[in-house]
Amino acid sequence: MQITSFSFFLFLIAVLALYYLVPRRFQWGVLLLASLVFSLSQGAKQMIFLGFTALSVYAGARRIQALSDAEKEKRAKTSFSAEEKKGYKQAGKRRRKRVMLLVLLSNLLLLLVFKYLGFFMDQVNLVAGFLTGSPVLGRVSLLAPLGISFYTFQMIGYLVSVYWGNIRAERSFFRLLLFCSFFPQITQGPISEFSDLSGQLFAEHSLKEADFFPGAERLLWGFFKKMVVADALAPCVQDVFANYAQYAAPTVLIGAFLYSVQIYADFSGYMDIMCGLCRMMGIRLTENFTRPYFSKSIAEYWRRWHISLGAWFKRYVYYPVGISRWNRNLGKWAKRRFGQRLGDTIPATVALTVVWLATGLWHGASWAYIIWGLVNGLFIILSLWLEPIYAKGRSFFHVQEHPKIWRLFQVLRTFFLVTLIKVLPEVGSLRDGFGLVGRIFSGPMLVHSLQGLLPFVEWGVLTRILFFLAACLGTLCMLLHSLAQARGWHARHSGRRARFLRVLRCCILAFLILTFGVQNSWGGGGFLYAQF
Amino acid sequence: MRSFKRILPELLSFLLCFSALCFGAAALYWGTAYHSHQDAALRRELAGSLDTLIVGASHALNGVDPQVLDEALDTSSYNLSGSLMPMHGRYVLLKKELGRNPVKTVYLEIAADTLLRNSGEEYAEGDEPIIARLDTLGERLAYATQYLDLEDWRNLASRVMLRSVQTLFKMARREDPVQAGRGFQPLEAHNVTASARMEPERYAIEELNPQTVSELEQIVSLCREKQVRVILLVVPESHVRLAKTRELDRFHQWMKQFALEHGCEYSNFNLLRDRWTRFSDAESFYDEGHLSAQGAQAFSEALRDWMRGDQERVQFYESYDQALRDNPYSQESWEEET
Repeated sequence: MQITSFSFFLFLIAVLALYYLVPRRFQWGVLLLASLVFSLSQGAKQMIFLGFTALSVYAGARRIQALSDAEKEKRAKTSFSAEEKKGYKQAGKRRRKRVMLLVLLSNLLLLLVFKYLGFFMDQVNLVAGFLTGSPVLGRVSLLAPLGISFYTFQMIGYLVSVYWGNIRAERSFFRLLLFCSFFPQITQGPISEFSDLSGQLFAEHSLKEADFFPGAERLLWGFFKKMVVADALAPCVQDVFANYAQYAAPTVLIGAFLYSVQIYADFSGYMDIMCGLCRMMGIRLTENFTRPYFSKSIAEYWRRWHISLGAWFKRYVYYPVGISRWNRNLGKWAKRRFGQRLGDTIPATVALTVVWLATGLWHGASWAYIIWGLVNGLFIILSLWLEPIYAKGRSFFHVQEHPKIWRLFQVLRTFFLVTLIKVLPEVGSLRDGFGLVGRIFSGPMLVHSLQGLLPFVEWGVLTRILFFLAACLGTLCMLLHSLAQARGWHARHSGRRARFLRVLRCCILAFLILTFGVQNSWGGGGFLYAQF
Repeated sequence: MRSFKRILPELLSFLLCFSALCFGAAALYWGTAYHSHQDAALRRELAGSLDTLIVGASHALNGVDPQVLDEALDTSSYNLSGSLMPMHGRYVLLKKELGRNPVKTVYLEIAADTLLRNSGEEYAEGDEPIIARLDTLGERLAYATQYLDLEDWRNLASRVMLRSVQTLFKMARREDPVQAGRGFQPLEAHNVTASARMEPERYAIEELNPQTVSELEQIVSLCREKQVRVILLVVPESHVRLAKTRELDRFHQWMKQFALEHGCEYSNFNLLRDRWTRFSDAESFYDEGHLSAQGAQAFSEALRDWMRGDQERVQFYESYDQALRDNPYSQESWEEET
């Protein structure tokens, strides 16, 4: 079931109606049923893997909880000496760790097999080909279940949280199954924490005007971003990516910028659709974006783009690596040898390198994504290392942080850099990625006509021009919307006037979606982030 | 229920506003004639005078010039064809015109892809212009309810809205409303060999759409009921297209058999013996499958000659296999050339 299809639209209406018609204590059951139907519509295979993940994590978490409870009970009932207590605690921790690792590795293995086995075998064959002249392994191409990266990470987060004792294991398998398969977030996240989402999923919700209509408006806004902007820009971007070697530098740069707009409209559009839908049901999903293209540095950009993934890596990779014994020892050694600053910076650099390597791999099993992740990490690590030099430079040149012009420069610089990094893995091969970036700096700079500047628009066909204009207008609306959000303009109107304006906005959005979006999404309409 | 009542006013105002916007847009499109297919007024004007109708998809729309036929055959023809026109659309338009004109001959253009196509994958592209060509809202609604499924309604609405925006643009640019000829739409010529790729295309006769075949039978019975001569027509495609298309002979045999069983005539102009001199891939085609204005002129003349019974000037190959032997773009020569 494609999110932009009419059948999904009807599915949403049916879910909403059923959700508010059944007695409230069964509302989560409606969500579970809807999630299972949605997963089933993606194929029976999807259900098997989803079921395995849910069941294994449920059993693992329950076992960890039981061990933890038994340990606590025994500690409360028995009087231990301090040493015995420590030994008993460590033995209990080892037992729980074994269970956690078993479940964690079995789920990661599944993810590795589906996402990375082909890549791994290609590398083995490459090396074997280099050494022996012929590949040693056959080619394997497995179709990964939809959203496996997202729900596996979410469930790992839940399992580790239970292991750390931050939350208690869920008693009901079906409730955990809903958390794992919740249809608004299964294909592209957000990767939610159990503590954030479970309370809302299982709570009873009444139909509230204050949630329903803002949710509906956000849902339409999401469809608009996806169908009118992202899907219209997709062919233009593909054209530039395929023919960058023939195009002038300004055209390639515009193509790269359009890709940045496309991927943002695509991914944040999806989030708006799902956050809007959930809000209509009284559920607030974790936000994944906070105006990322207004960031002043790449590190800030990654705190505002795909927030839930960043938070997951921070919680479950960065901190554990950062405080791991070997990394702390490395920090102590560096502190002794190079002083306090490097003693802090080196362990952080190690943790950041691991995080960005993992982030690259998470996005795709290819060298292009690994390099992409490392380039992102490199910029962040460089800014960490060079921060004292920047500070000195700023004070030397008397650069103030606050003037608008300086902030605007920082925002534009970050957008430019982020765009160049973003296109690297998307052009085809890594060589093409660097080729495209190189073309921006080395291609001919002069273009003599609008047709020459934007050759990907079919200027002879009125319909194509209209679609492109609608996408440009949509981009402008997105920019204004971000500005309005930043300045709180949304909250200024209230009461009848606010309702009138909302109805008007919804009508215009629905009309534009029907006019341009429906046709843009024909023959696909898939989401870019669904591939991850 | 009380909470439902609370959201009802805003929900209703949205639905009302949105419907008003959509109906307004549709009225703007249907009420004007800025698109080339909007010929309802002209056909109303010609009602009672037409004795020959040409109906088919884009091959016929761009390929048959009624004027050439009329000048030579002393007829009054009209080309009812439309791009991607589904068989049920042809039936509806034909029925309407047969009802108000003393029609004697109907040229029914058939291409293999028309019979194979699944209408669900066309996103109502062929249906929308037909709906725009009908006269009243009632006729439009009747067509949509009878022939479109739920998903197509959305696609139709989308197409109508887009047409209305285009209309608005054309009005803003002060373009003149389209002065339709007799339905014929000539196209510019392109050298089709330059962009052609020799990837074989296959028409599997087993995959004929039964719904389309049944609608074709309906059209033939309608014409026979009105005692109208029906000529099943295959419009020429480029030589390069012919060279790479497989299994066309099975389609040709099927058409022959169909014509025989249903008492109509069949003429396949793809198999014209002198097609190599009448048409050139450099000038007679807009793309591999569609004639250019120059090609349409040549084809209309061939059709005229055939109607006159000029046996010397119009001779056909028996099969596509035979034609392939003379085709300069047959596989071997193509490979040599490239």
